[in-house]
Amino acid sequence: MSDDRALTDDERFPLIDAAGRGWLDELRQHPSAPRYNMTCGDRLTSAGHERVRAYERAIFANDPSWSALEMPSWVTAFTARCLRDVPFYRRRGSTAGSFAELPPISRADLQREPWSFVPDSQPLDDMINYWTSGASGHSMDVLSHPDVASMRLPILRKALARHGLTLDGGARRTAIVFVCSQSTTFTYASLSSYLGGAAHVKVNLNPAEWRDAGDRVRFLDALDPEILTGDPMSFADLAALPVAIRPKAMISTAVLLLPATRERLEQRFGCPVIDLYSTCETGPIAVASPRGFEAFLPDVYLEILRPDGTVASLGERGEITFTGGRNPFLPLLRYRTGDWAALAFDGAAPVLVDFEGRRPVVLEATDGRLLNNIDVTIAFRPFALVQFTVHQNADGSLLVRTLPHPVAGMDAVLRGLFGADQKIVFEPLPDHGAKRVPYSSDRSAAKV
Amino acid sequence: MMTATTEGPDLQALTHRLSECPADFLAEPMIGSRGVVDVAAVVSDLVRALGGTLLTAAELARFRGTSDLMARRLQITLIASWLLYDPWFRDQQRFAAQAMSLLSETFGEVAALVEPDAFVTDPDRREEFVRLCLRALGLRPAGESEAQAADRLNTLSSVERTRVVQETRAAQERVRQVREAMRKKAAEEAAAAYGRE
Amino acid sequence: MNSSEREAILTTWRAAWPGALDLWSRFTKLREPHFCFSKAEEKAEQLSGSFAMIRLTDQTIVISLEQVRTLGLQDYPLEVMGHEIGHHVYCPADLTDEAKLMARIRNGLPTLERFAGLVSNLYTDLLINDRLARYSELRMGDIYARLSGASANRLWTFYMRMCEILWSLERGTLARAAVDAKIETDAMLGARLIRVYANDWLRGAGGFAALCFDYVESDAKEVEEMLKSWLDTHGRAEGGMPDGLAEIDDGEEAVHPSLDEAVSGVPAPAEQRDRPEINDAASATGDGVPRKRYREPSQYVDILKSVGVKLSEDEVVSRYYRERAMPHLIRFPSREMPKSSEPLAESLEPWDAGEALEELDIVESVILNPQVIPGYTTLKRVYGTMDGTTPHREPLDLYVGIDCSGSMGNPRLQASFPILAGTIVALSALRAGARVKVVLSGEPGKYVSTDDFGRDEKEILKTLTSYLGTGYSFGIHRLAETFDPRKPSARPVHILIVTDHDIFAMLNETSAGRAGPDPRRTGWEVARDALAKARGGGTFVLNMPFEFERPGVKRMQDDGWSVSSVRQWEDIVAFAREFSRKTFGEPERGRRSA
Repeated sequence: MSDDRALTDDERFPLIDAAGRGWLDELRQHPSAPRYNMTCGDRLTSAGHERVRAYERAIFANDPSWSALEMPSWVTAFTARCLRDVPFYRRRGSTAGSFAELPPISRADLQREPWSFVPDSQPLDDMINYWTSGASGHSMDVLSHPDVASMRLPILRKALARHGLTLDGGARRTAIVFVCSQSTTFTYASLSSYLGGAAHVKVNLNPAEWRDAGDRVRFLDALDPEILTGDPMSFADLAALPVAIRPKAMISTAVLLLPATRERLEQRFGCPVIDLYSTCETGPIAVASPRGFEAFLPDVYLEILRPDGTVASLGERGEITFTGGRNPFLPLLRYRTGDWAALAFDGAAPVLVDFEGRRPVVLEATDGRLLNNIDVTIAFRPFALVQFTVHQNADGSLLVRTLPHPVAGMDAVLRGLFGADQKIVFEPLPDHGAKRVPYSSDRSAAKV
Repeated sequence: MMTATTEGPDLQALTHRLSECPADFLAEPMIGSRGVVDVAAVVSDLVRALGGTLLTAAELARFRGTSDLMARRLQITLIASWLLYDPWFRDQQRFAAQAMSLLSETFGEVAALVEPDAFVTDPDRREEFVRLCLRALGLRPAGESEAQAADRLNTLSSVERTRVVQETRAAQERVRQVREAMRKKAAEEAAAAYGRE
Repeated sequence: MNSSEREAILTTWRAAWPGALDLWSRFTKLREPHFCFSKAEEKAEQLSGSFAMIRLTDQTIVISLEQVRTLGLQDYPLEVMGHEIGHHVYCPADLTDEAKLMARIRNGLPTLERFAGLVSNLYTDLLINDRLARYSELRMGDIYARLSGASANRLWTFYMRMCEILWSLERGTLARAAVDAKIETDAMLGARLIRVYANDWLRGAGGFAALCFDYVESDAKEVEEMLKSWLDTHGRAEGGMPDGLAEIDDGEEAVHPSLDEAVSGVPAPAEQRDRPEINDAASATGDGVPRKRYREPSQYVDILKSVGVKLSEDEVVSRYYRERAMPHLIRFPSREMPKSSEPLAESLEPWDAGEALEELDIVESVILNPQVIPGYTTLKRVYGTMDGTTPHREPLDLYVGIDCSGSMGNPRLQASFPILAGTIVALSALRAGARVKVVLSGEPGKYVSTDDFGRDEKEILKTLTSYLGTGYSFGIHRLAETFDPRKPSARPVHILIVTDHDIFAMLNETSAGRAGPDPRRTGWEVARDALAKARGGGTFVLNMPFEFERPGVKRMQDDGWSVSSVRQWEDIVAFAREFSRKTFGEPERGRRSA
């Protein structure tokens, strides 16, 4: 704590001008503003601004160019650079004869020695450490760069463009409200110099974080944001408030968005809800479309690997494995995301189908039939579930926790899958979990 | 580099001899007006004791130094002279030529890395020194194979150690810097994130 | 083994025992080992898994001669017994050393701390074996050769290559698998480290672990398996508890041996010298005074668990906060003897577990209830004094209420300054003779409290270090439970509430559905009434600037509360020290220089 140095606003916003300063003060001192518990800025410099602009041009000019038969052309040079310049890959992968022989890496590798992924040639001055401390005292450092945070904006623009929408920003406007709803999280008011000094505000809908619970509606209505970012649970909580905002779109991440929930949110707010597949280590990977999660960024290369590390055949489900170098502090060569899907190429961009977070869990019906958790997800599609967990106990009984709770008709659907005399206990889902689809089982058959 | 060697004296006997190096051989070599020991005279005596002839003026000049690094090298030359006075070498009367090249050529690199005293006081350096000298004379310790002797010298070599330590250190120093930066940045604010992952 | 074989091996090993003691020092006080010949005997002697151990409870070495023979080690009595004695006299020697060793090894294995036990064993075994091999010329390498065979495991190869270098063994004698350049360099550095830190082995531990870091994740399991018959220092800490471990020692950080000049023997380039240490102990204010640094409670718990401390987590966490509070406590009151004075038995009061045993009046207690339950049926006689004596200072009792809502961190994971402050104040109060009631509350949601005002330190600390993480603030309406029924004759109590700005929302809520008889009373009224009944004053410590709630703070003050503001939770420690001194310390007699 000795060098816990607060930055100045000039350091937080290297490109801020007088108008921006005034707008920031207003956001901070707004009579209905929440009790912000953090200050932070975009840290974007003019050189960074140029780099993000170049990145935007590049991703709008190019779509993913790879297929089942061919890697994107940049992968070869990127791999060579990693093997030369990144200590971890130099140590682990230097004997590989081809890309497919490179040993895949996992979250445990990043957690164990994040420093070994920083290229030797990477200056350390602009490093950012997104530091998370876990419940058991195990922390994880994800190293990044201010440019990477702002590159999110062109990516959002490209996702919006698929719906014919734009993200314009501009002085004294609010571009983005990042909505959370949890017991505690960082909240702040920031500006985005890449969006012309528009506001970017993170709020927590938990009433304890506000001076008055009614301020939530007053403040959000006053901001009138262009778009909202958040997760299904936060959006559901927001939908229950009498807010009058009409955003252009809502971008949902982190938790699987079921179709019925999406439709309900779209009706409530009169705008598309875009499901973005993104992880902390990789950044955005794919965007939901009727076909599945579509790869839409040219700097991302995806493979599907089997548990033994070999490449799955076309249409076969396996672990989504990411290659990309957007983050200069964390170039990723064959990073196993822990999420599962199959790849399909049907002429257009590569698409992840049968997407399911986490490794599949096998559940067992009363007559001994084995069910994949994806079967349950499909069965849940008609229900407007914000979030759920399904656990099969060792005795075969199911514990189903849902938000909201109770949900009419679920019992019948589950019995249809598992058998008429399946034992099921329904409970409300207690608090906000971050898992995409948390299936679990104590049955031995669950081992794949 | 593997040069053919013949079996020589017992290693322990020689390291023991080194550990008993008399103060005279550890005294400061004469350089200009400084120092007390005339290394050239000591070497000259040694070469004759090993069966050689009188040194030429040019040869003698190699052991009259001018610089500090030279002083360290001469110090090591003195210690080596003590070692080679051992009866085992003198009795054979055939090492004068090799001794001359050992004393004038072998210690350049090591003199830059090791304090001369260490070759008397530190067990590993004593062993390194004996092995270095034996190899220069085309010998290996009694009871060792060619490969064993070469491997053990490589393990003990100060020159080799300095090389690998510097390599490892460059990598570890980078790790240290990144971790230091991580620690500082963890305490600092991050950049605003535009959404959940 | 037939009986003559048994007799032979027993005779050999017994005869070797005095020599084994002499390897270390003829003054080593250890009795002759127990030699076992059957599984039943091993079990009776608590030897399980390994063939030799030193039993900590009675400092006895136990050796299974049956296993010794199976492993082909019958001709190595000095090596085996000398090694066991080494763990007793050399390293880790005692539990505090072992815990400190573990702390340093864990620092060298960030995120791979689970392998610290194995690495600690590899390190101490190698230190002991090197000493035995070097000074006593024992054949320690032979034992490894017999235990391991020819494994291609990289951790093992690295470890064996270190032994080869240390003991001048021919390449390939122990390290049978390929030794690549990395293993060769690491082994060279490791061997030098063992020699350099032989006499100061704690200091070398982090560096040794840093060398092992690259190998353990993939290879530790197999090595553990190979060495399991010789892993003899596991789980030694039955019943013990090392002291002084909350604080981080200087130089505890792990430095890779290539960066440690003492090990590498290669001077650092000039630009790397004089750089500050990674965790600079000097304070941020630049006054150059080294500041004490403490590890987090979760690390403290992990270290103690890793050396086999059997106390419950409750107790370990209590110990942590107690250790950190100690430097801030008031001094024990010096007893002032009354000038004139027969002490006069006045009355009986309850005696609590935790109070001095000599105060317990056992006769009166048994009269009250023949079945004595400490703290419930136990009584003590309270003495008064005759007139004309130094006025008796009756200490205030103390009510400590701490906000344990969602915005407060879990004190079992990270050091919590509010909990540390509560510990300082409560322990100071106990020193002064007060009784203490602790209430943690995160409401709406949960609360936890000690049963009543008491003097049981264990109970008080256990309650303080519980964690709730519910609700949004301290449930101020709880004061009604304690103070509504409080009699005017009861001892005066000081009420201390530690919370933040959310308390104002709570103060505005009514008692409906909460504690207390009158559902219309607001938190403000409950607090004011409690203060009146307590009669010893009250303090709110708020983690917020006063400017946030000027009117609210004024209302507190108007109601008779003292209000203190701490801008950062760290600052509450200074508050607690000062509060304890003022509330429970002895009046200053003359000025002491600071």
